[in-house]
Amino acid sequence: MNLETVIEVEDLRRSFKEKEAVAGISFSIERGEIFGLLGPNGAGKTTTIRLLTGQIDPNGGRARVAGCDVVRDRTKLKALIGVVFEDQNLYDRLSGRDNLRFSCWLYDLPESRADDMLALVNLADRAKSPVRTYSTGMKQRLMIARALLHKPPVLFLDELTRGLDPISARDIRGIIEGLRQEGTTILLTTHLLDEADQLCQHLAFIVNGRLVAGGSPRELKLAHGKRSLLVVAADPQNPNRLSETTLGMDDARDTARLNELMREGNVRSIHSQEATLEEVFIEVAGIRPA
Amino acid sequence: MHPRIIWAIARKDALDLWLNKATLGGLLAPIVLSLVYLLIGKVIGNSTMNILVYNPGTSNVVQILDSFQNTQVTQAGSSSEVSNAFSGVVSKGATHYAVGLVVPSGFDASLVAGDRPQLQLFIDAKDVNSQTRVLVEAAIVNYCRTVASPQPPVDLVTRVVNQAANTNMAATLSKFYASLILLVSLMVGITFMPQILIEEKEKKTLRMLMVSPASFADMLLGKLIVVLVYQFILTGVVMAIQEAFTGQVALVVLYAVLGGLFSLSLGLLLGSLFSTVSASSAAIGPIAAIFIIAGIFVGPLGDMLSSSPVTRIVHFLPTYYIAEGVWNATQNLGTFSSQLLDIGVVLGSTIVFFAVAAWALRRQSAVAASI
Repeated sequence: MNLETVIEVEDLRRSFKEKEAVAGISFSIERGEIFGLLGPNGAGKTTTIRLLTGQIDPNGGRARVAGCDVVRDRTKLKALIGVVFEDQNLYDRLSGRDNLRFSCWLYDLPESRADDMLALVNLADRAKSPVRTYSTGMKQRLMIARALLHKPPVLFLDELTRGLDPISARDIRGIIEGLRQEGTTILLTTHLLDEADQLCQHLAFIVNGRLVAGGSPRELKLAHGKRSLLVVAADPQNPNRLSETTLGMDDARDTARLNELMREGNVRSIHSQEATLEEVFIEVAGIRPA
Repeated sequence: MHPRIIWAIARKDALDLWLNKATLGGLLAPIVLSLVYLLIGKVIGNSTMNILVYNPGTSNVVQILDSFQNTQVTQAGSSSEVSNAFSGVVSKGATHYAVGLVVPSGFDASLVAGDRPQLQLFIDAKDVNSQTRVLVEAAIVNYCRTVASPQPPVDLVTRVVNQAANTNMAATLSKFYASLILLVSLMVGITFMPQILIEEKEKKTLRMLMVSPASFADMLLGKLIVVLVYQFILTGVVMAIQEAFTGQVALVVLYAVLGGLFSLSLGLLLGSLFSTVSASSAAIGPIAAIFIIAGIFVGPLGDMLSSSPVTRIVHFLPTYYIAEGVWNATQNLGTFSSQLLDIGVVLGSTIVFFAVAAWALRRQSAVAASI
């Protein structure tokens, strides 16, 4: 294994009764990288996280996280990972501070660490309030604080910003980007393709338990998206009236149409258009994301 | 297993139980019940019942009468002194007695020999109502049964003088209530153990624990400790309120400890069966009621109900043996074999429930993440 490879997955499999939730996936994640696992609901994203965090055993294949085999070195692995779950699983009668103090006790950390983390996620002023009085965004920030409490080198984030308002989601993305810059390796699952585009250095699309495409966002867009131009042209009958036309760069008929517009001299401006991840997803998965 | 982590989970659960208002109410209910009963006993049953006893052979049967609340036992010098006290010819200024008992010399040995010795019981109906009289008779017969089981080979002759008057039956039930309140306090384990276990599953905090350094065994042990501590504190308090630490105190404590462990193992089993608190609450209520009811079928009330077919069914409940054991221990009753039976049944059922719960939870731990 390369020294810089923090997560290495080879032909990982997991079935629940008849259904194969993860069907032989392979990928690797380098240190300090945010890796996005994208796919529709039920595609196998959460099962992959459960396998990599040692919550469930695989039926086949192998995976190493931070140098630990996820089956054989489970106890050691637990100290090296932090997990933000899809569900907001906090003790809602306890205060935010008590939730974090409990994690301090579990990881044998000084209780002052709880206050440091509450300050990091801007919850210091609500530290003593019961968690049941927190908003969804506050709970999510508290879960991030809990996951970071023991300074894990690897972080798993399952549907990080689901249900959050745009401001909270932006704040949380800021925290995650800061962690990446400090060298934390992050695997996040999401079905929010814009979020993945902003945060991730590498992406993998998972559909029905299989990885159907992978690479950096730019590579994926170039490889799978349709290149196009937005052409703004004047109406020959009424030069003050402008119209917009999207023309594919790889389509012969569109190329001919562009040449025609240029010859007529009515073109006012041309903008190159990059494919979106949603278009890539539709292209590689054949379905729209959830 | 990690002691630090077990302690961490116990601290968290103790705090969580304290902050849970519904749970706190449930925890305090047995104490409130004990205090209410104590208050009723003080208000209604405060008069002393004088008992005159002739017991030349110092038989323990006298302790039966002594165990009734607010009694004052006086030793008579002869059997005629007792019969005269209830003859209606009482000298001015002499003490008035509500109950009299004449125990023949060598009474216990005669019982064992099957000689059917005669006991003379005198009741003044002005002071002792018919229910209390039945309880006294049943208690005496129950004592004889423990000395020479299974049939009570005693000839109990009861003579009732004067007209009936209203007296407080509640006062006479005090000791019996001690065994019943013990069962009520055992509900802590049956109700709270599953609750704190199921909440971890229902709120999915169990997943968080499973990716932390805690193991499934750490989690269970932490919860067992906190509920057991609550259980013992509560049992100790209600037993103290009921003045139940009398008689064979070591045995009383043993039954309280065994009862607590039994309660916990049953709670653990229930916690392994359900995934939501609402579903478990619906089932736990009737189960707890069935187990508490067993406490009614011990002591004098148990003797009154001995012919009921329900009594035979109740004998299948381990809590019956807890209540019987406590009753016998507080009354200095019961033989070594009967105590052994009570202890054996409670201990055996505790081990069986714990083993089944451990097996079920072990299976769940393997799929903890998918709970």
